[in-house]
Amino acid sequence: MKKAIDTNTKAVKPEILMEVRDLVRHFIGPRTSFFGKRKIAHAINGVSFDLYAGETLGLVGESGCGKSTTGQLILNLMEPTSGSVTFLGKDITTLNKQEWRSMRREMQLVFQNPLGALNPRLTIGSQIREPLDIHNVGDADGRNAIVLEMFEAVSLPPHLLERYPHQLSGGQQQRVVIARALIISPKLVVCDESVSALDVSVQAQVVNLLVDLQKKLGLTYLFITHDLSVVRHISNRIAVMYLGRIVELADSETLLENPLHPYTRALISAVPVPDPRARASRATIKGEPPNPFNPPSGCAFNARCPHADDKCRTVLPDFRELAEKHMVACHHAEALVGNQKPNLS
Amino acid sequence: MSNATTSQSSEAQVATDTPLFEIRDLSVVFDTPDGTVQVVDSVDLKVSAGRTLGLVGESGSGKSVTCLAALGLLAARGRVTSGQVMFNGRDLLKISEEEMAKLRGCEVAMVFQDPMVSLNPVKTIGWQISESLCLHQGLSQGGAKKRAIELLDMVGIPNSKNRYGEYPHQFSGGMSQRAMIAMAIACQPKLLIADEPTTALDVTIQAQILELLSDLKKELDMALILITHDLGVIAEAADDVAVMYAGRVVEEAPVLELFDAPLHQYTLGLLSSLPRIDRTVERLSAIEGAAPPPQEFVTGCRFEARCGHCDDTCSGTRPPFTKISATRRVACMHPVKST
Repeated sequence: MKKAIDTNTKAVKPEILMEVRDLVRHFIGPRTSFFGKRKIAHAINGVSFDLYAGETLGLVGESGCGKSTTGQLILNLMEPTSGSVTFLGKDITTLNKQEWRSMRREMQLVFQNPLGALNPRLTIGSQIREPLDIHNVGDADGRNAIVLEMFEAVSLPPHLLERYPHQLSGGQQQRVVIARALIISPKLVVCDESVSALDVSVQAQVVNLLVDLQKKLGLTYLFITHDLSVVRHISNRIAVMYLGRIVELADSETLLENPLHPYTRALISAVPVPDPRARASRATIKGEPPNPFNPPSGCAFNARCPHADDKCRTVLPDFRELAEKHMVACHHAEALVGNQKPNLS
Repeated sequence: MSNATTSQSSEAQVATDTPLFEIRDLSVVFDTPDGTVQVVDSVDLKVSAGRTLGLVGESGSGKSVTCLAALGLLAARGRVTSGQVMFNGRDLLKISEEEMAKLRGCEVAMVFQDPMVSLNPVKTIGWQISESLCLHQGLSQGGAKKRAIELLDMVGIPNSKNRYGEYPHQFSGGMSQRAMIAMAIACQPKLLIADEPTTALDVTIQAQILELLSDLKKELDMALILITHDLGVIAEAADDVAVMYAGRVVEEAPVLELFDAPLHQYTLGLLSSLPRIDRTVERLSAIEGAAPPPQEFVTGCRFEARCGHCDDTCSGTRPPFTKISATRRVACMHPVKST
């Protein structure tokens, strides 16, 4: 994997902001019998990727595939079982508290539910200001000026500063959360389903806002979502996860127009397209994702895959670069190259 | 969804035949500490046997409340202030609660968004399906069990004999939703109302459930009302569509016509604000502002504040729900001109 990425870097020379290598995270399950062993869930099972400065990497997958856990691990909100996360040249999994505190400023998180992320008893203004207070940025007047500026940047009218979270609409609340995350000028923002709870008309506003802010402030996003339509719009590259592993990683257009992993194909064809004429083209896959406490041997997708054979049931496929900048973990990916793309329109 | 194309043709059913289920001029108010709030304002809907009506709108637009009110399922503070709900020639708002109870779960059934909340955690799945069979169809316990296992097979739950005795926590989200559907179709209802049935599910499972609903609809010749906020789901599964905004139906059309040529400015805005998986758009054209909460509903057009085409005629009086063709109606003073 590393080698493959290195060759790419030479060609384009984008600056690597974060390197994630062989990240593993296990969760220990509940005790089922008094003397019995507790089962282990392999939530993240060797995830490696690079984040380039200024890009948006979309991380997609179904619930339980480990996309949110990955987001928490790279922000060091959770300790990995093994593996490393290198951010700005330092392995953040080994930092001590003080080093971590200064590093923390550079990375922020925006969650799905804004009302849950905001303090119901603090005014909007003081919540947006709080990060500045914590990190001791400037003096009191300076801080208020920054708050106002940020408030304008997320297109909220200044009179809302004195309001409380419940007095705002869902879209406004999410803007507040974004303002609070960006006010200390982080380099990396992890958006975990940040627009999923919003109605479409408002979702479009927030997506546009995120794109604008990225251009203006040079942000790097890790955009975690289950919604492939949003991810196509916002991401430069997309990584598809399945049961704790990345199974395919490529530029957004390439991945969606010419997917190589059968799971990616299934996922794309399952997305309902807002065009009634596109109906007949659907090919649904059977079954459901396997249980992480009891993962199948070989490729995790083998039970649902139309191309699965004996090799898939026994040997774990390597995550390899099949075409330029197109990584895939499937034994049969070669056979799928050039094979017509899933019919979308 | 392979043979869905056949059911798409809008001319298959002409609007003149009597619909199985028709809501006329339905208004619902809620009593709140701050006074009465009208959440549903003179809503008209209809659906015929074998058809799927997609009811689409943003959160708070009144789509769920409309259907709950029609089935007499409103919470204590909600009241129907006017209207008729015709089902098979009877007005459901006029019949007694006893008759209504006989009807619900039998001739009319409902499937809700979150299967994990709707299922009783301390009863087996099989028991919960058998319950309505014993109640409505008077089957014996043995007979109900046999039928329940058939139903589990019908909704695609593998190993149904063993699954019959399992509890909801042993079912995954998709499987629970299948069990809920099995329960809903247990008495072969004539009308099935599915309220956001796939919203809590992953896309691959959503595709399976939509396919299942459409197969069952054909098999049982049901009328289906599909409530959703997702225009993708509408495009996938509906025959006719009603678009709701701020407590009113603003547009009604067969699905192809709606997507080809939306008439209401809101529908157009909604369609163009969607991110698309099948094409790249430079920038999403968002609708400015947000939908008003029910306390701020006005008499005039409620989309006016967010609309780029409004003028003096839009405020003050409610835009009439004008018939454009045999199958299309729109409530807009300045409908989108077709190009």
